[in-house]
Amino acid sequence: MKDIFDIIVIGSGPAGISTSLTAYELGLNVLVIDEQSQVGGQIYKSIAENLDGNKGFLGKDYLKGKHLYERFISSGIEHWSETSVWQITENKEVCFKRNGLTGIIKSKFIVICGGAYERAMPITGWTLPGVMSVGAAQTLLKSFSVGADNCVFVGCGPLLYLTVYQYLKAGFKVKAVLDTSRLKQLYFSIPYFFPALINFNLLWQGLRWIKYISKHTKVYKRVKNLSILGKEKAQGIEITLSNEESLKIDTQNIFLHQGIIPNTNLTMATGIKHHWSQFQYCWHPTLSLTGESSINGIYVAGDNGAIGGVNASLTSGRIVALDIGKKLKKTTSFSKLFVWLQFLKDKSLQPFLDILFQLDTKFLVPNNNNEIVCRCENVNKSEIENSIKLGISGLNQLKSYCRAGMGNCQGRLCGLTVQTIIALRQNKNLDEVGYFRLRPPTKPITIKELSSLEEYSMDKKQNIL
Amino acid sequence: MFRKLKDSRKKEIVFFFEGKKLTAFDGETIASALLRSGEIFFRESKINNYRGPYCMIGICFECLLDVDEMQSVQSCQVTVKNNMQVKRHKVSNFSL
Amino acid sequence: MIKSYDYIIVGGGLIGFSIGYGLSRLGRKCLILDAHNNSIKAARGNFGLIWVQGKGADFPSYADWTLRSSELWTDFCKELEDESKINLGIQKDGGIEVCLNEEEYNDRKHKLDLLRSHQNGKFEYQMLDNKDLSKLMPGLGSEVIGGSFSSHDGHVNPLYLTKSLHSGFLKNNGTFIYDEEVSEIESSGTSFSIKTKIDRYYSSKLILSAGLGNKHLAPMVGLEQSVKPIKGQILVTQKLDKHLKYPSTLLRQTQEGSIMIGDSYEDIGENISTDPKIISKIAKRAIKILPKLESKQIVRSWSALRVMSPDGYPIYDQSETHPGAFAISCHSGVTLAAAHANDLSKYIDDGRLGNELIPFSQSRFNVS
Repeated sequence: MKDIFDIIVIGSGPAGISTSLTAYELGLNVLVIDEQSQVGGQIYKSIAENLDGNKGFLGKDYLKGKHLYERFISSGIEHWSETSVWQITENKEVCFKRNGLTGIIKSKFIVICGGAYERAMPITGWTLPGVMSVGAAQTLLKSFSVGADNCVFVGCGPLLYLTVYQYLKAGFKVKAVLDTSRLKQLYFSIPYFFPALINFNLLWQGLRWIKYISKHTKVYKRVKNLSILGKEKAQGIEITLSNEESLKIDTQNIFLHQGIIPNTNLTMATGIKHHWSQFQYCWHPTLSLTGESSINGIYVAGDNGAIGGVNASLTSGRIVALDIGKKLKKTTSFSKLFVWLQFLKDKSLQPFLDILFQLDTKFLVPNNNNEIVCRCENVNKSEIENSIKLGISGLNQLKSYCRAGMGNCQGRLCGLTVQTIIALRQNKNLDEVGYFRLRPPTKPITIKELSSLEEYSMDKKQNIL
Repeated sequence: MFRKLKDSRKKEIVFFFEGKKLTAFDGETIASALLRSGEIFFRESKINNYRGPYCMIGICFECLLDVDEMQSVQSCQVTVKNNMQVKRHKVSNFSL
Repeated sequence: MIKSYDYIIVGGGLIGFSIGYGLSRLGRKCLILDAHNNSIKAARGNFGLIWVQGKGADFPSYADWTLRSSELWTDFCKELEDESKINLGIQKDGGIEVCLNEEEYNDRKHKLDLLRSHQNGKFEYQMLDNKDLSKLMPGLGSEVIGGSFSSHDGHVNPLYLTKSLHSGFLKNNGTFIYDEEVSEIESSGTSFSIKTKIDRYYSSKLILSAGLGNKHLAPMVGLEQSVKPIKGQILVTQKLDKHLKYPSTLLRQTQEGSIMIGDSYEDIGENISTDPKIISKIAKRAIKILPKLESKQIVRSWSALRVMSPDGYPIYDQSETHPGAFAISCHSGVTLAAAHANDLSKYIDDGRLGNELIPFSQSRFNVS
């Protein structure tokens, strides 16, 4: 197949926008493909509709996206929205779905900017309607100014504090915040605190959120034994407080959060090499300093590579674009120096946050044997353990024996839990245990869509665009 | 229950959920409009009878609904259109 | 501690587990050694058919062996389900082969006639036109000319079959060790010593059922197994209400409700990547057979490698130079599971392959 573009950028969150803008400014021929109807990704979700700035409760950082959005839109970069990529082939062809049809397209370079999603938090009752992730609450707020009163936020991490802050600022009543962060992590994080000070403004901002939250709602710290109550829907939550007293809170809206992890389904299905990060408790695609993966010509930028936050995503996009620009002889390496310094600065906060909010596997492995781990196929913890008892050689055999990870979400929600249970039972390291063998299509496509598959060329443009 | 703050978006769109008439705002996803109307039971499931939206970003597949001719749609990713007929997704209704 | 067994079985796929189950049921002390999670496993890519029609039209011994296994399957399944408490989702009321054009239909009829004549009437089938086939497969597309139906056929959940054999094997005191790769086999004349990267194991008899791995293992016991990988790709839809009563070679509905659509035949070496152009063709063919499938979503796809001999039929061999060593390669691990757990296990335990298996020797390829 012929290369139609210099670069195909998959995803138009901060990393995707920054990659494509930098590449475009170097004179490269760029195509941006994104599932969403608008650019912005999860961070700058619905930025186009919030340009008037009357959603002050979302904060200054969110509104920074406005500038990027306007630059992107006015650049005229080729942008296919509502288009999902379901496979990247061995020959580095991108298979996409759009308007009920599928196509294959090829470019010289591919940059995957699939972002991140929230790690599952399978505590007792987490499948009850009314229980959602904190990111879900934030998405509703950003996109539609929709929120729930008398809700309870459970977990820990920057996204949780930010969302609670935004909820309160917007005027929603938050009944309680149940903070699961651990005191000992505060000590462990001290060495990482000093480099983090370079981003003093962000640390200060975080403290401000926490202070504001403590002032405006009830915060319970170091809670344990969480159990969501209700038969058909969430009716409340029961917890043990740090002083060993138990507490029951009535609520129908519970938002859970245990940090975010790279969205590696596409990178894994593409056959890119990954490694386990104990620090971030997730898989990372193995990348060169400039963001190139183990497959020549395929890059990963932003949180899809490793969680680093919005600023690091923006800079990593620039680094990737400059590296590709250099390979296509559009730039020299010298222009990168400033970007590298910026990248070091942007990355210096993350290790501190990683340790401070490091995952407690208590919240990844249910303590109740009957609790569902794989939501799609209704597989509970004891079914997984029974399959492990037979003697299984890893996640793929486990999947074939009990169906965990076989459903619609392709293991996005149960993968880390299953991996952790196997590691615990077989006394193995998490990287030894490995992960599911992921396969395309990484996004559901219909039989009809698949049957329509055609090579994309400029003259056939009308059919699919 | 979810509610919406006042903002610049006004236009109301009418759609139907299990035959019941509901309204959505311009550009709102089906999942959001249903949650605001107090509808939290989406796809049928053997455990807990029903599941509701969990992630709202197209990852979890818990918000599946049947929308017009399309069965099993991720309702957090689809915008409400006028007179849309929306139903809970049930495997027993999902046949060839 | 010396790790000594009556049998060591190399390869924990459908063949290894079927024989391991059969031998452990006879009270033999067995060890199954299996490779790592990421190794290529044919058993996990099996389509799940218990299939007789069309098999062995030009190799009567294979037709007999297949029919024999199909007859054993019902009791075998009941025994496995009782023992393991796992529902295998078996359906054995018949199966369909769909023909999309005249040529396919005529070839089919010719092949099945030939098979019936070999089998002295033991093999039954009917050729059906579109109208009659629609009664067995509602929603059949108008482009379908017709097809064949045979009551010997059926299907089962291949993953749960492996799991139930695994679980039955353990109940019969079998030992299963994973993450082990055999690096060396030594024979003293009365016993075998198997060296892996981690350990060493001993047995009086040895069975090689390592799929494609048999190619390099068999020479260690003086045998040859000329197998090569043939890739097959399969698509799986979301769960639907129960619709398809009978399985066919291109699509079947699983006990959970998903429709499995397959399968391609690709001679491209040890490659299990998904080829979008080939799965697109599979999708096109599926729509011709059941047009209403078109709106259904594909939840996952996979590809696996069949273990294929030069003529496509199984290879069963026992070593002359290393008495007690057997090597088995085949790609119909589900259909033949019942015969492997029953007849084959007994032959191996008696120390000699039965007469009906003699034609399956690798030596058939060495005749010039």
